[in-house]
Amino acid sequence: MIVFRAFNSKNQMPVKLRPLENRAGKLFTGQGERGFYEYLTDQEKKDLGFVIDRETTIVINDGKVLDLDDPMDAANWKWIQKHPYIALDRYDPKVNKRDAVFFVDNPQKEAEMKVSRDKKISTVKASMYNLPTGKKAQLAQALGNPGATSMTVERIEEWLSMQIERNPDTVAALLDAKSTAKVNAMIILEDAKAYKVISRHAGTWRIGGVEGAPIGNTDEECVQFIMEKANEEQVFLLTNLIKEKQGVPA
Amino acid sequence: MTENTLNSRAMATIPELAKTFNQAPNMAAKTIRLFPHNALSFFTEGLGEIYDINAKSDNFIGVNKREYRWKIRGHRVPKVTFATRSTGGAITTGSTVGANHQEFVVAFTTSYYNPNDIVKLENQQLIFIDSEPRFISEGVFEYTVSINSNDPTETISTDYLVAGKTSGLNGNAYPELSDKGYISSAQAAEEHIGYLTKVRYDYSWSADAAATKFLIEDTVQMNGKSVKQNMITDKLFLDAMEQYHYNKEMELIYGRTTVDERGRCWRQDKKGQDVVKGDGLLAQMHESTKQTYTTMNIDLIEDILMDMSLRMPKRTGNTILLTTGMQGYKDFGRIMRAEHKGSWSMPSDKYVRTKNGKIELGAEYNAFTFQGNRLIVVVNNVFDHPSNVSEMDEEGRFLESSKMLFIDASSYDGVKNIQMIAKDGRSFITGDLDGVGGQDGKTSGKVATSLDGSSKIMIGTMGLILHNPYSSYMLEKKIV
Repeated sequence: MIVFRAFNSKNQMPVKLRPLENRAGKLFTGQGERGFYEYLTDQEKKDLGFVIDRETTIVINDGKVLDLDDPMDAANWKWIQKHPYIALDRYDPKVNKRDAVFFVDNPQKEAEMKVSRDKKISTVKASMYNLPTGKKAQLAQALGNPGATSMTVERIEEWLSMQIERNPDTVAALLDAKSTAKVNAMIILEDAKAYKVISRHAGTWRIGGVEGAPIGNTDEECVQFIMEKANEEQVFLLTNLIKEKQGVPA
Repeated sequence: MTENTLNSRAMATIPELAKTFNQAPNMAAKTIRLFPHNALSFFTEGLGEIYDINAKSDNFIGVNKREYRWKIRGHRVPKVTFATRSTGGAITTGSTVGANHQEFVVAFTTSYYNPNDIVKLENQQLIFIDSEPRFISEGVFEYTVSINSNDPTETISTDYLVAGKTSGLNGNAYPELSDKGYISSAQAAEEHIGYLTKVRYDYSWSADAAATKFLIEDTVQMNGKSVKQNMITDKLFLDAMEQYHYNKEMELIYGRTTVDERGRCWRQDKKGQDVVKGDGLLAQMHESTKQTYTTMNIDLIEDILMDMSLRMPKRTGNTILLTTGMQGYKDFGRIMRAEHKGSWSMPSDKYVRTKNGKIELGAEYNAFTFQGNRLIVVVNNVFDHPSNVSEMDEEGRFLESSKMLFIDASSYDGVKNIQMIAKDGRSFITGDLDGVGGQDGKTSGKVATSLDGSSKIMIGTMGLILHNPYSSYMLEKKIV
């Protein structure tokens, strides 16, 4: 059984699908050896009993069901799968949401995804609560809260808890003991941004102004730059500039 | 510039237009009439369907300088679909339930029904809703129901209770002393929000070119004589206007808003300023019906007109605007010609014209009427513009050229379905930054810039309202 659901189930009007041509104008129906209407032999057409052609249409609305035990529905399903109005998976990032308005409902998969995410959030939260207070503050700083050092532990925990719910994978990756260097690099980057020691010009983060040394285009690249041994001097400069802005003697 | 020039299109030559815009920027919006192939602009502001965002109107409410809202009667809920049941396992076909008024559980995709509602099935049998909806998962709500009948032997075939089957509200029933009653409202008001979009086009030209080249010749009547006027800036201006109107039409069709459902703009420039844009037509009609096609036939067009009329204010007497590219226009023309052939009766038919012993065959078909609903077809430049890229067929034709947008152009309580919202005096403005030599490149005097070349800036601010976002229809070609 295939059940179609609308991405916007309240307002979506039905859509009408027809088999599509390929670039060369051949009609893809999924029938016959090659799947194209033009390649069907007369004998194949006779044997099929139900031949899909340009006039074949199927209306899809919210809750529409295709019964794959029904030979006609099963035959139609072959070409419907290729239609851009239909997403085979609700969360498939490759789906073009400008075209696709219906998806194939899969409650089992959705439940698995939700439960798995929820389990992960619980595990990451438990690990976070077990961290020493100093580490919690560092983690919050690395994730973009430069004021974490002056916050109470409960407020840091609340803030981290929200971050975990939003993005458990990112936080989980930083809880590992091996990630200490990365956490430190991220703190430097976030401080550098907060104190405007670095600035972005044409997409590139640079130390100082437009003439300054480039450190990367994305946060990930900047963190990588800070962690590299070869860039020690520039990172030293960066941390000194931050301290200067913070009012801490270098 | 006389007052007469401002009021008369007949006198507004291209050189004069440029001067006119400096004096009366609102006049500039009317230049859309120079480019009628930008169908959306033409059918809204070109026909005067343009409103100031600050104006008091029943059509819409201007919330602030960039946001406007309008309300519509939501579409009716004509039917509720059955979903796969969880309690007791999925209902299978080929069985019966409900004998002796026994209760049973069914699942629907929405929680639309209330207790005591009487629901009609596809086979015309009635069931009585005995319970509140129980939420099972997103899109699955279960109800306990029983057959609404006085015959204890009556049963219901499960064929009509399985996922995908539909049901509709037939009414409801309460005892006389009931202190409780529900009415399942068949319609709900919907509020839609739109945002103004800014289109800007800057262009500059070199002073040397301005001083040495004349690209346009315009003959105007002055003091009873024909006088030629040559100005390079004017040719540039005309081209720039065309480019500006193209950009604007692209925004009106393909634009996507930068503001989310909670009114938060998620795009900022480097200084942190919001970059606000509104939805174009395609985004606004995203939930409308659409269809792919490979070959066009008359039934297809007729079906669309009929389907659209069901979501329009009247069943007949509607006007539908179809805007498409040249491929779509070709397909439409061929169908119309085939239809026309059937009714050729006299040699003097408009399709056949004889002059000086030569025969000219053919006609341009741009409208069609079927059972009281009228379709008007307008080719839209943007669908064939080389920079409006899309997938191509084997012969290198853009698939976008075959896109057909059927727009409901009827009136809702006196309000046109498609309208443009603008800021008063800001719908179109131009600014000149003259170079050292002025616009013609050879005028000495005080300067405002040290640059030799001159430039002109055009800015327009506008938004589109499609009052009923569900009545439109899109027909398009896609490839596998």
